[in-house]
Amino acid sequence: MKNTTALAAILLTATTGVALAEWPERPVTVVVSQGAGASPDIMARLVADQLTEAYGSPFIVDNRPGGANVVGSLSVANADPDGYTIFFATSAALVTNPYLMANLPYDPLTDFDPAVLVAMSNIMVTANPDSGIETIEDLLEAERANPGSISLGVDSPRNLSGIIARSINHVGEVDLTLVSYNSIPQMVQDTVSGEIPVSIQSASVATPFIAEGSLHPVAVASAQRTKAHPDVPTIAETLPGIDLTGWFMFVAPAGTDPEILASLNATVNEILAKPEVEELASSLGYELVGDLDVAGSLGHLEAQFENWATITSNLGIQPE
Amino acid sequence: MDTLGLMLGGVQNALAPEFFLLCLVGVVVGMLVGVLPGIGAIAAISLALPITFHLDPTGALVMLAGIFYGTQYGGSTASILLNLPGTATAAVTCLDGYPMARKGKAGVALFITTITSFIGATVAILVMVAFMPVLARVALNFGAAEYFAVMFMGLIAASALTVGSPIKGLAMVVVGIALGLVGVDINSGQFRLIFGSYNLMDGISLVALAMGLFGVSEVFASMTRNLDGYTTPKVRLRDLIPSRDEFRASLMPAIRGAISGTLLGALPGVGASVTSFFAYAVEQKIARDPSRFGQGAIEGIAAPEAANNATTQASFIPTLSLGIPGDAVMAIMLGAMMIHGITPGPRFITDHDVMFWTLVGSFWVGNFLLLILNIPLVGIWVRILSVPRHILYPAVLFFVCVGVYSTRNNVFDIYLTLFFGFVGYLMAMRKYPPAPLLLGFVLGPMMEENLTRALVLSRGDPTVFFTRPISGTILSITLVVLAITLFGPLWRKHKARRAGSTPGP
Repeated sequence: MKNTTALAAILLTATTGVALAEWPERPVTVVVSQGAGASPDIMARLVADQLTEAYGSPFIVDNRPGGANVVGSLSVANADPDGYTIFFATSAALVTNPYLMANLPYDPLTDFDPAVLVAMSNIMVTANPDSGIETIEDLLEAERANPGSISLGVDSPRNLSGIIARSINHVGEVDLTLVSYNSIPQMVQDTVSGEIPVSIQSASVATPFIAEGSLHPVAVASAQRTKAHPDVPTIAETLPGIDLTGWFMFVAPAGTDPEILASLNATVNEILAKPEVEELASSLGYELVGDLDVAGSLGHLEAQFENWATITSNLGIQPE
Repeated sequence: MDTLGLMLGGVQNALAPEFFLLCLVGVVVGMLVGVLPGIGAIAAISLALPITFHLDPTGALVMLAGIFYGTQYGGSTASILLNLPGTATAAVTCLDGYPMARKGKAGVALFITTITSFIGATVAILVMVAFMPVLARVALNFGAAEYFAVMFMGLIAASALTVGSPIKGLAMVVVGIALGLVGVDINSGQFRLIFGSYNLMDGISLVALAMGLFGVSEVFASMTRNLDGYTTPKVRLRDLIPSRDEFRASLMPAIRGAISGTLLGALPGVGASVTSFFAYAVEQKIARDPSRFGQGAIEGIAAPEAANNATTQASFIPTLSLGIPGDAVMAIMLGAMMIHGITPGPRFITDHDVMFWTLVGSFWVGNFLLLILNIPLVGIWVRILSVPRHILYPAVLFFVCVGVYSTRNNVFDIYLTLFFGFVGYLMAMRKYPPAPLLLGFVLGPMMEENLTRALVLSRGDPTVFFTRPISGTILSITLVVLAITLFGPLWRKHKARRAGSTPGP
């Protein structure tokens, strides 16, 4: 009798130990808070496919678009922290929404545990090649010479590109006219055709057009120049203090086993180190991170929170 | 090599066993998924996307494209048989397709839509091959003012969709526009009419609205209808095949629909919804007896079906040649290409000529396969109607719920569908037409966006709509048509009165 109890105890501890070691033992849902084909979706599918291969167990992308990333974020915040629901979160869901939306039904800092920062999606100011605008100085000069003359395409005044545009106006003390587009491809088309001289969009959208010469890269909105476009200056080189980047981070519902987070972190970082993944990601216009552990990823999240607090208070943007 | 030679080479490549098989799989999947009400191309393509990671890029595109146009063939089936449109396009097919089915002509309607779909696609492929670079360049000249003009034309065309009271039709357009306003105001980034619900932040789901107003309301109506006089329509083979007259009546509408569908489809962002409404309106305007429309007029299904399939093919023009996706489905296709490291854009056709022409070749092969596959299936689909209604309608509601859920994975959309089903039922009782509402819903926000953008760009100068040549031309034509529509009947009445008053006693 004693023996069987002991055996049971050993088995029990063994199975719990094994359960962790063998995560995942069933399919893992990777929630994307935007629709299929959207930029986080492409990146998520790329990584999910590699994770499936690495773990030998399926990682399935589940698109939960809606409500400016709220629907998808909330579904993860309410999910069981068992490691079988993870969130390929965008910076919009984690740090932009809290500063723009009142009554946000989730709290990014307490509802999620960061696992790994995956990639940066750099935002770029581009110009029509015939517009005569090649640098941020050109842009500011053209507007100052003829106030009210320059239109700047953004996706919405309260989205990342719009906030970059408003920061340029704020720091550069100009008043560029923001033109909003529901459809980013439409905005790119209007910049290529010269309907508007300048637009702001993610580098992933702009890169193919820059490569074929139909758009001119003016500046990137990150603090440092990017690996993909080392010759393109930052906005901050002209207008100090502007540092706005989109990024993707795997987070899990708060309370997820730290070993699972560590395992996910290590595997994702291994995947990001593969040359073929690097090549594909940079052809899509993303800059892989690949060197942040769990603590480092949390540090990034907290730093971004501070950054957004500063920016929104400088621009006088209130949550609504 | 000349274009025709390249095209034939493309067809030959597409017939290679590997591509042929992928094309077949794509169109069959697309067709079957398309038949399920509400589960459209977006759901089908996003499900298939991961599979294509492991295919060669050309094969992947051939298959994904097959799914896309396959769903367009399947989409009309649910509209005609059950009044269940999964898209705004299919709602147009409901207008006359469902009355045809209720008259026992479901087989004929399905047969005609299959053939006109094929005609539409073929015309579009030929135009695409011949004029792709030209069309792409014209599309590039379309700015906000031009888009506004095209959409204004579409909305005026919608006035023709009103069967019965024009006031009620107009009222429904306005309601549709109001519903379209729900969500983010693009110019300020503020939320409008969301009543504190984050489920409404991205606006009302088009699928939920269309399925609710058309299909679900029909199910509700059937609950109150007297079942005593109801007999299940009998399906005879003779009823499946259109008569020679029916063929002849649909040929020209199909060709007209195909041409307008191709031209409008080449504009990124206009999409199939506008083109099928437009094609329908044109047929109704030129028909000798417009009152037949809405009662089962064969032109009413031939033209829009040809137009929407033409648009489906033509929407590849901006996607492939400019790298600018025309709609959400094309955005996914673009994503698929980028995953394979292929960048669409002006250089795509020269850099990847074999891939491009194989893809175009596969369009034709795929459409031909769909034609062959669909005709024997017509007999099977029609049999759905002989399922007793107490089994059919619950099943329909089940598929509607699954379909609506699949578009955004959000249960809220199912409640919304049921709500609009109830609204649609009330509207039907009071004879308020749902089609103008749907068009207002689709076009309203697009018009608003382009109107404000054109005005922001012109810094508030409204003459921009008439000083820009393309926009000026389209708007002038529209205003002339509008004047004829408004004053034509008055003038005719006036003439008739004069003619009636002159003869003496």
